[in-house]
Amino acid sequence: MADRRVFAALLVFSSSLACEDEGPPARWQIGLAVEEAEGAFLSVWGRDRGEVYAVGGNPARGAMRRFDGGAWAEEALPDGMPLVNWVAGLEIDGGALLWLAGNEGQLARRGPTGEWARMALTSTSALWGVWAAAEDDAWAVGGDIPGDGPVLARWDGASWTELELPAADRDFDALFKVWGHARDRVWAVGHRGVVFHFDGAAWTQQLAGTTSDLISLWGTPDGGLVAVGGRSNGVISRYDATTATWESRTIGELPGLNGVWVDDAGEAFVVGMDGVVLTIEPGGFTWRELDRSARPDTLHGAFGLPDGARFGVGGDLLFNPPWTGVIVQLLP
Amino acid sequence: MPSIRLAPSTLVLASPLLWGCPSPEPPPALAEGIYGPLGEIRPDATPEQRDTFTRGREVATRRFVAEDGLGPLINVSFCAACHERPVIGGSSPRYRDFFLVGTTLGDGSFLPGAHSGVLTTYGLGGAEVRPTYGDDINTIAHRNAIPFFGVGLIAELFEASILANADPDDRDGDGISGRPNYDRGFVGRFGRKAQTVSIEGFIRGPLNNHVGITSDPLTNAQKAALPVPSAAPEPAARAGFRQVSAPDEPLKDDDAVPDPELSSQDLFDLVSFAMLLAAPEPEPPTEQTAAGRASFAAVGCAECHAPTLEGPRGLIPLYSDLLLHDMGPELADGLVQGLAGAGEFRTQPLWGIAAVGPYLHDGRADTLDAAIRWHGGEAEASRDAYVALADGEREALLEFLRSLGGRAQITDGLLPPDSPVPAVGEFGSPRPEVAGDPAALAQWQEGRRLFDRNVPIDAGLGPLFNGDSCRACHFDPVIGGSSPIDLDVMRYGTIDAMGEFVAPPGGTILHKMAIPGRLRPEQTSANNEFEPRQTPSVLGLGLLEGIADDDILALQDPDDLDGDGIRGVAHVLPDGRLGRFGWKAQVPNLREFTRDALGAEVGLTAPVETGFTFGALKDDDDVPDPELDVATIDAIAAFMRGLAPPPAGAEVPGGRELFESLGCDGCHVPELPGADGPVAAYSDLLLHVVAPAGTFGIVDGAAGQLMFRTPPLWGIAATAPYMHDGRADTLDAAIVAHAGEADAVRAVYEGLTAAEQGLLLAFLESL
Repeated sequence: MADRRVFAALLVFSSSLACEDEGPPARWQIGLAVEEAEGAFLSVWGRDRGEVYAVGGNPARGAMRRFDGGAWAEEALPDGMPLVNWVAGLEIDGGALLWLAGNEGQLARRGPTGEWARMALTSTSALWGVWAAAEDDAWAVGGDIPGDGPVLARWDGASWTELELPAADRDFDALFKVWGHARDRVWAVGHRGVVFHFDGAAWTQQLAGTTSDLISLWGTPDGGLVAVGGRSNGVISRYDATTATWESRTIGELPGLNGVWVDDAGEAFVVGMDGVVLTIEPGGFTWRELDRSARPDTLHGAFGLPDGARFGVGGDLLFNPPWTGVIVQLLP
Repeated sequence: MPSIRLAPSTLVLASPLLWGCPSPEPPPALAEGIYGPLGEIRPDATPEQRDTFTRGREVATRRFVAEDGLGPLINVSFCAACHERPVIGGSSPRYRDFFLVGTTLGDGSFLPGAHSGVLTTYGLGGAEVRPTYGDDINTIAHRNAIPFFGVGLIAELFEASILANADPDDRDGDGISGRPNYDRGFVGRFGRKAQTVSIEGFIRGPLNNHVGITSDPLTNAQKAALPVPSAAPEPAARAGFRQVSAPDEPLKDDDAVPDPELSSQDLFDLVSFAMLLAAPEPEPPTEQTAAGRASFAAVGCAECHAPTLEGPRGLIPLYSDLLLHDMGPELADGLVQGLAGAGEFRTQPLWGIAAVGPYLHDGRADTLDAAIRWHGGEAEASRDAYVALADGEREALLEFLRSLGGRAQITDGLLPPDSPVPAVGEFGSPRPEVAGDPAALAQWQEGRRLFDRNVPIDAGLGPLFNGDSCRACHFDPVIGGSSPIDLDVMRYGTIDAMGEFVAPPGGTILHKMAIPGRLRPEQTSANNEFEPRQTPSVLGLGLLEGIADDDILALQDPDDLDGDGIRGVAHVLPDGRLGRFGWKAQVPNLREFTRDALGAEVGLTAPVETGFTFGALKDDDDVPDPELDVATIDAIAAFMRGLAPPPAGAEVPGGRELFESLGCDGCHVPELPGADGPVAAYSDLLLHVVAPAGTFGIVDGAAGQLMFRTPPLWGIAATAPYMHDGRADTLDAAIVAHAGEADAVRAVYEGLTAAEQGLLLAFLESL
């Protein structure tokens, strides 16, 4: 015990020598690594440092973890919940309303008090994304590749309704993510670079200038959007709210990108294949690599908190077992 | 001597000279131990790698069949089909060219067509027999296959060595930019647009898209064992990740064979084979090639065709910067791959270039000179400087290019230079009377050369064609033989409401290929009948030609007067001649066969000749008609006439008796009298209805929809697949596929014991 106290004192002393006013710079670290039985993590969302959720699983079952500021603990899912592809949250009543979208057209909803409700669409295609504007207004998207076509469904507070998309300029099989600034400003991105916009009344296609898969998107403070994707090469697409136009760039030096989250200053935090973690400057396409700790695993989901915490979740779920799951995090 | 005063700053610079310092890195030297004849293994390979190379070569030449997972959509049935020139591992003649298709959308983005944008020629197992593309396709690009020589060394190259030559914004103002393509974050190096970084990916993709063979990625343990390090992370150089990164998904198709269809070991061996192929060895310089090399540099060729790039073994003399360059509007193909735009292409390595023509991404150039003259865009100034050279300087430059390896293996077709004449009794040998007559043998050899040679565009190839030589479709198991299913000629037309066949206005052949700049023809929605035609062997046709008409006509029984259910109809042509060659017995003799095939399959127009009615007299390419002369037709016909029939195997006791007792000999007549004695072809050369009732087919003259000429059975063991459309991979399947007049015989065969069936099949294989 005495030795430990001395060691701790030395640590404090050395830290004070190194930097009088600030702690040591935060470093990217592997927050969690799990094995085949749990599978990979595909999405992450949280309210604050003490309540962050990562979801995923393996082809046999879904999985969920909760970060409490110190560790990632297993969190129960509804019985029989398959692989969970996405989690989106909404703050209500001082708590989190969670929406989970999974394989086989399955959805789950957890209220602030922790009660689960399982739901299923008529479609049994994979659901890749979900986003809620309000308690009574949420969207889910998906579709198998190859498959019978994209899935788009809306929650009205009581039930889900599957909707048809208008004709597009290309054949495509799936929408991957949906996100909105408001009920009447919702976008969905997907297979072969499709982008659709909902104005509160109808969905219309927007052209992003790419045919690479757009995997996910997030809004920027100025009402714009950042979408990322690509498979062989990273793709960044930006929506400019003032001109209502998209611009896409293929970034050769980057592998395919999967997850994006944007902070209040408009800086995008992005994760992707080969464990890449990066930021993209506000309003532009200039990027800076932050980390590759998870390499060679793929990172699928990105999320950040106003306090500077950043989380990237992923793993290896592409091929045969052994699957792996990994969470990289920066905790300033 | 004046005193020397040195400024302090100079002293700082000079001090290392005075007192010494760590020696700078010596400049890298040319890599050693990497060269070998085209298609051979690198000399530095370990014994274990040599075993892997041998196994991988077997996979590369393996003819996949339906039960292996071939299809459902294919262009070819084996890897070496497109990598055979001048030897396995190389490029291919134009008959193996293919098309990439896609859609350029309204916002300028490019969407590859279905099947990864590869337009296939054949659909198997219930797929569309002749796949085509949808109305939304507006971009079609022509491709000639790429050689694999030295690719393992290219895979090893340092990224920094490639990037050092990049100048995307042309900051040096030389008009040549050059930028890398990328694949999953790594500098691309394979493919016409450098769109791929990993050899595994460059093999798995085409194997799936062109052969319909699915595979899983190699495991990390396998990647670690590849000849090019492919698994161990090497963060500094990132070399280890290049090969591990690209192919990350299992490939699947929807045929009946479970995926993956290629075993993990086979894939490992195949990738290793490619990685171990030796680099073409440059020749020692001569006065002429040294001058040519100087001109090569002086006119600016070396600005993109960088003589060397650096890898872990030293400098690799591939003569490419592996960067993308805008090659101008005339070469632009509209395809976007990764960062590569419509007019951008990777600088093609030049090692071994003399032996792997035709040239450029679509094979439009027959010669190196033509290829250089097609260069545009960033290469325009260099091209103009090349054109402005004196004749001797240009020839020296071309001679320098020819000296970059592989010269000894250059061939006009696929027969190796000085290819020996097979001894009498071997497959592909001349008939004994030809072999024994030096003059006749010399003529036969000349005919064989013409049969084998690839016809250049400027000699009249196309504009539409199925093969660019006679050998293209007649090489299995030897020149003059048959071919795999991937060279079937597609016949097509329309079955009308009354069940009658209506031929398309341009004839019943739906060509698979067109010369660069022309589009492959596609069917219309009115066409509903497609019939692939398996290539018949031409071995022994001279003996069939010697059979008297009367001896064939005597076998006819069109009204089945003997009541055996087998009729047999001679195909008498409108001019009274008796047809005996072709699946519908539609051609009367070998010379007409030559004129016909060269016109219909190769696109060569024939001269008007009295007494000859077959062949195309006109086409609409840029070469004046006729494109053939009489001597060429005579030589090729004489070669075929002089080919011996396939050598028979050991006699199978009881086999022929069983064959005859079953009634097979009712059509497959064992012998007919020939000009020089009995001809044991096992055919009556008559038409029989053997397709099932209720089906439809192509009509050719008097040969009805369901009628086919009895195919000779000699040498049949070596000419799978079977039946007119190649539907049967085995002889057993072929027998079972018989219908119509052969119903009764087939039923008897099906009722045999397994041993009896085995005896019959062994007999057939012995023919």
